[in-house]
Amino acid sequence: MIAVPDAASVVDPERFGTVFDAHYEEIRRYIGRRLDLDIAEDLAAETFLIAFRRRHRFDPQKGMIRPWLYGIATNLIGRHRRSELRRYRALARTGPPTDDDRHDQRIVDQVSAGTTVGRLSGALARLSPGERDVVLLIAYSGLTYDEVAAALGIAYGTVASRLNRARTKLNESLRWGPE
Amino acid sequence: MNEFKLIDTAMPDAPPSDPEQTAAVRARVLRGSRTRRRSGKPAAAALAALATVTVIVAIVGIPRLTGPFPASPADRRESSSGRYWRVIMEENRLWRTSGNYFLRQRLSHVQWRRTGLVDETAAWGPEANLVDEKRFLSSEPATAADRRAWKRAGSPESCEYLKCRAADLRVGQTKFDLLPGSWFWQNGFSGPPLTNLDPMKLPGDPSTLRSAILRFWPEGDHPEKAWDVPAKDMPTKDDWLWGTSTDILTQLPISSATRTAFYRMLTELPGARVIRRSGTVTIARALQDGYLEQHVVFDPATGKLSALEYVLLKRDPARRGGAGDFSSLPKGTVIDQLTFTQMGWTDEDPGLPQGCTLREQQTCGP
Repeated sequence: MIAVPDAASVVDPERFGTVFDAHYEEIRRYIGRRLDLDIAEDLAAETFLIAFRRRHRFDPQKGMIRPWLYGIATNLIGRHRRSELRRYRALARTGPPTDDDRHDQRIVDQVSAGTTVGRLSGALARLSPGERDVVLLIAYSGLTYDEVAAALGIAYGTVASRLNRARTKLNESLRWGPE
Repeated sequence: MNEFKLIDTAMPDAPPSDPEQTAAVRARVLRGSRTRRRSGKPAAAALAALATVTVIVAIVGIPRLTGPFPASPADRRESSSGRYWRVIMEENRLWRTSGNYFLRQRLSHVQWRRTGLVDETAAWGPEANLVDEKRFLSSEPATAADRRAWKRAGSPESCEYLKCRAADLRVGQTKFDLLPGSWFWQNGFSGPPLTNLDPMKLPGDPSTLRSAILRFWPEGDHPEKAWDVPAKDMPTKDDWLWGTSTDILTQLPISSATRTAFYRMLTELPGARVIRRSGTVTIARALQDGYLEQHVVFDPATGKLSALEYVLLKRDPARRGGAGDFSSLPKGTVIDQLTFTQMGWTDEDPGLPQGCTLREQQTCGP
């Protein structure tokens, strides 16, 4: 069983391993859903390395460990914005990669899923970087609005306004498809 | 189903991690060592591979700097570490006003860059990594004719920008811009992701340096996909190398060996020419659109960067904006000049005004 780390685990180098054990997989998965896996593996490691090096800067008054880690990961993803956009554009053109485990899935479901992924990918590519960060933090990590604000170092109101704009764009894309 | 749930459900998931790889990452993180390069190759092997790429373009007729650049005894005396990389410079620029007369303006900049901190923790480490202390020294009509035009216009007050807004700097005033560490003036269009690049570790050999910088050339062989500009405005690889190199030379901490390697690399670029004057060497190259030439001026005795200049190369009265604003001036006019008086490490803190804290994206004073 993985121990739930407390704030002291972040600061104490001896106990930082519990932070890694509790959160590495989800951070890697979050990055891996936004970037190609070879980049994601490196950035996940980099996220924890940065967290370890900067552990004395962690301020539990500002939030919990998860938003802190997601914030670092999101900032690192920001350096690979072009790779992320390329990925969405490729998905928008071709849909998700074929999954051999789903060989028995009806072809119509696959086509439908591919269309949805294509439209979503096209819509995500058209969001501003700030809107995309907010949307994907909520969608993939399940962070609350407060936690997203803490993770990105922005105001709660900014989270809300980015979400409003993003939802409008997403709905338009899903309703009408890519331009 | 709301949008977030739909995204979570529909978008491709990442495969589970390999336990052995995770264990190796865990061990590396807890040792605090650097992660591997994205290529997956060991850094040394990647560097060796880069070094084998022959990229130097020799152009017959371009004057070359001959003989070795002298080592920099002054640099050796300087501190090789400190809390800040500090650049002290003075800017002397020509401004064309809406009244069609020119002002000659002088501003001083002192930039403290904390290289130990990078912006990946910006959200949780809200301290600014770069302090740019800017003082507006003077603003005067450039010539007697400009002075007459200025008087005819009612002798308007001049500010840092053409329109004087409340927060804009006036002559004699100082302000502090507090910025993320990744910020820098980008003349090289889109520079390398500097937080990924430890400038102090850039090689001191021109061809290896060129290869190292070109690793950041956007999109490899398909740059057209990376630039949000019309194809005609897209820089060539050589233009980009020049711009990015001058950005790094003028702003970031690099060793004296790397600085010398940059000079050598720049002289080898197609279109570069070398001008020797008493006590200085200038490497000159036309900027992309051919209206301005950029001059990198250094002291051959010490290798120190002396100045960066923009010189009017071509006049086009039909052109509006940009270099076209200076078409009434003689060719060879220095439009903008940055003179570097000091560049090196220091432990001295910036003298922020009372009440000004090191928080990013803020401006303190006047």
